[in-house]
Amino acid sequence: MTLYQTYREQANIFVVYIAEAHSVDEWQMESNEQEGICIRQHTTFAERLAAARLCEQQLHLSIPTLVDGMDNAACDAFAAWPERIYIVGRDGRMAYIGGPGPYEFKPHEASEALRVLIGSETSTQGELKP
Amino acid sequence: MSAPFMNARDRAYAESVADGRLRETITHSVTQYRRSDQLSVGDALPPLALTRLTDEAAARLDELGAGKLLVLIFGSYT
Repeated sequence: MTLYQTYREQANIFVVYIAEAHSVDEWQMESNEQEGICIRQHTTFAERLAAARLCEQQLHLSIPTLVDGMDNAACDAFAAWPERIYIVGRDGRMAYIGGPGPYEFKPHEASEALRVLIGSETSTQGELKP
Repeated sequence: MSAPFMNARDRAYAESVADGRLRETITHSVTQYRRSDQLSVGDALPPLALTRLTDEAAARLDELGAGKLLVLIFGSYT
């Protein structure tokens, strides 16, 4: 089960599509080329939307996707490039900050953090019951 | 916006690449997009809006949680 399938009822989960990590006109990866994944770095928002749609289709993503603007505001604010996971508490504050990819991109660690956060919220709610 | 940045692992990787041209490409890509951390646990969500892919409507980050935990998975196809 993926993080989304497991926790979609307890958390709102989104992919945030940001600037390409390995565009064909920048740092293209041989592995991407072998798999036919050749995307130019987006120069317009329409290109970024198209790349996000292609990604969603090709990877059969069921997680709702949000798209960063061409100012890369979210990517910069979250120091998110090339990939990263954040969990935000119900109070709107950062509850878990995963390490920056690719070396410290750890979905299993994030999944475990989410499980613990859900558990702590459940037990806190339980304690508040009269 | 924080300044362009290469972390120690980026730098070590780039320095391990023998091909000078590729090393330059890697360094350029990383410094263009990599940023140093701005957020810590306990910080409030930045007041940003993104675009929903399904209908291209604006979505404010602070409204996405809607009373639940919010998970944001940043990435791209490549």
